[in-house]
Order: sequence, then structure tokens, then C-alpha cells
Amino acid sequence: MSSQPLLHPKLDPAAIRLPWLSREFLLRSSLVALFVLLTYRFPWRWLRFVTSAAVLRICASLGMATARVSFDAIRIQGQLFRVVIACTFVDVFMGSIPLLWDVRKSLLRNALRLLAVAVIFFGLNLVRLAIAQVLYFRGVPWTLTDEVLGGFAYFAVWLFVWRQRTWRLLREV
Amino acid sequence: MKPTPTHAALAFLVLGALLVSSPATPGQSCSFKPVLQGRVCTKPGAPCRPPTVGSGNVGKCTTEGLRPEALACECQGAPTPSYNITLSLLTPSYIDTDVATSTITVIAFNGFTGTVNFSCTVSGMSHPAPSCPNPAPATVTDGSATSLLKVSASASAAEGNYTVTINAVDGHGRPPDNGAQSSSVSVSHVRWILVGGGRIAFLTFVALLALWSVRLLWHNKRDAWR
Repeated sequence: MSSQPLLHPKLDPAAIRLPWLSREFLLRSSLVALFVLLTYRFPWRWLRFVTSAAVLRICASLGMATARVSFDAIRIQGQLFRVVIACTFVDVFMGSIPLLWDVRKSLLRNALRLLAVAVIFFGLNLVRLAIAQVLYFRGVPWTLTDEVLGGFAYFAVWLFVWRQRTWRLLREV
Repeated sequence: MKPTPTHAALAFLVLGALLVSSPATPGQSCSFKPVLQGRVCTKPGAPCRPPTVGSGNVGKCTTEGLRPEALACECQGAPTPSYNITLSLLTPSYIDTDVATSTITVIAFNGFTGTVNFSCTVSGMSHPAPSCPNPAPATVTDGSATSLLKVSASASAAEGNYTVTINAVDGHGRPPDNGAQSSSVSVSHVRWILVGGGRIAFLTFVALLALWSVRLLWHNKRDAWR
């Protein structure tokens, strides 16, 4: 039995470079982690208050019995809910800044773009929170309504970031 | 009328009385009223002892006063080292059988250094109240120091609102300039729901991302074959 070489004899396996994540993407990803960690260093009391107020209003407009308990706590249909930082989507927004930043554009243009993104994310967050509340009070477990829906919301943000990206994911071979 | 020597003496006396009664006469910047526990300064800026305000053994004569007619000389020593304490809000503001924490920050003034000891008290209308061990002492070396305050509630803690008060004293037994500081915490044994993505949300996202990546790779491969 003759043994046939798998590669051409002149082809050096060490010279073959598999596609790998680009340096820019790795740098931006590191900044994402840093930005998210920094986000959790602040209490974001005002945003938690605003988010809980918005949820309160949406639920009230849907005919639910609502009451404010504290700046971050609300009572809906007799159940107490506490709005934590993750609920405000601020971590998602802060984490997406390094991925959305366009180095070819000015600081002002980037800032304006991020402001628009912040508004979009805030709206998306309110929609998912309202859906979560409605589903929860229709008998769906909270894990499904809040957490799984939250996972889908994160993924929606990723798709948005992917469409808006100005960087390459893979290193050029 | 020709002025007589008696008239001249009288005029001199009146002028002298006027000069003495006016606290802001030239060459005299301090009144004759001595400040309590001190001596009257004769010249502003001159060394004096013991200081009536501030600290140290030797002070500096300083003219003090809100009104020009109430000038008083004060022997002002070095500014007394002191400190303030601040208390961040207890987080979370509602506890069930868990712990709420807050950061106590000691802010030094006038070069204050040393250890500040804390004592914690919880007050409220309901009993038993949550417990609050005395926070660890903070040692100020470079302007500020922090310590962690913990308030914990057990299942037996009564529901209600509580005020947590922090008292502080330094090594000389001096309290902070801004006095005791308080924050509030509530105990509730009602089941809370935390709104916001947790571990399952993250796992859902990772699963969706993995599926999306596979789909993307498959599309790329298919395009490459074509």
C-alpha cells in the first residue's frame, strides 16, 4: 500500500493561515468588556427611576393596577418588581459603544449617532419589558418572559450592531 | 475769645476720648475687648499665645469682626484638623433576608490623619430591627478613607422602614464636623421579582449567537463553492 501525502509536497503547512478574528475586533471586544464593567460601577439611579416610571405608565395604560414603592421598585397587580441596572439596558448600550464607534467620523457625529442609538435601545427595552409584564400576568413564568425575552433583545441589539459595523470580524489571510 | 491753656487741655481730652472710643483709629486695629481665654493682640500678624481659635501653641494676631465698630483681636492658631463623613445610599434599599451595603467615606480637612472609629445604630418603629455591626475603622493617611457598612436582616426581622445612623469619633474622641450621618433601609418579606436579564438571558443570547454564526459560516461556504 502506497502512502499518498495529503498536501502537495511543495506546500508548507506552517504557511497556511486559518482565518482568525481581526485585531481591531479583538480590541473593540476588550473595550466592550471594559465599558460594561465600568457601567456597573455606577448606580444609574435616575435611569432605573425613569425605566420603572415608563413601565409603570405602560402597565397602567394596559389596565393593570400599578403603584410606585421606591425609586427602583414598583408594584404591578400586587407583585413587587425591582428594576436593576441590567433592566435599563444601559449595560447593553455602553457595551455597544466600542462596536458602533466609527473611527473615520468626527466625535460630534459619533456622539449624535450614539444618542440616536440610546433612544432606540431605550424604546426597544421598554417594548420588551412591557411584553414581559403582559406575558407574566397571563401566566407565563417570569424566567421565560423576562430572561428569554431579554436574550432575544440582546441578540436583536447584536444584529443591529452587526449591520452598523465599520470593522472587519476576521483577519485578512 | 483767645484760647486759654484750659481750653487747649479740654480740646486735647475730647480728641483723646474720641480716638480711644473709635476702634478703627490709625495704628490700632484691635478693640480693647479681650476675647475669651486669650490675650488681646496689639499688632495684626504679630505672634501670640495661646491661640484662641485653631490649634498649636503659637498663633498670629488677626483682626476679626463682622462690623467695623466690633473689631476684636484674635490669636489665630493653625487650622484645626477635622473631618467629615459621608454615607452612600444603602443598596439595595429593600432587603428580605439579605444584606444592604453602603460606603462610609471620611474626608479629611486641614491635614487630618488618623483612625476614625464608627458605631452603627438602627432605629425604626418595628421590632426586631435588622442588625448592623460596627463598621471597621478607617485610617486616613492621604485625604480620605472608606469603610463598608453592612445592614443585614434575618427572616425574623420585622417589616418596615429603618434609619441606620453612623456615628464617628477620631483618636482624640472628636466627632466629624458634619455630625452623625444616616441612611434608610426597608425590610420586606414579600417575594420580589428582579427585572433585568440574568444568566438565562445571557445563555439565550449565546445560543442565538452560536446559531447565527453557524448560519453565517454556512452561507459563506456556500458562496465560496459557487
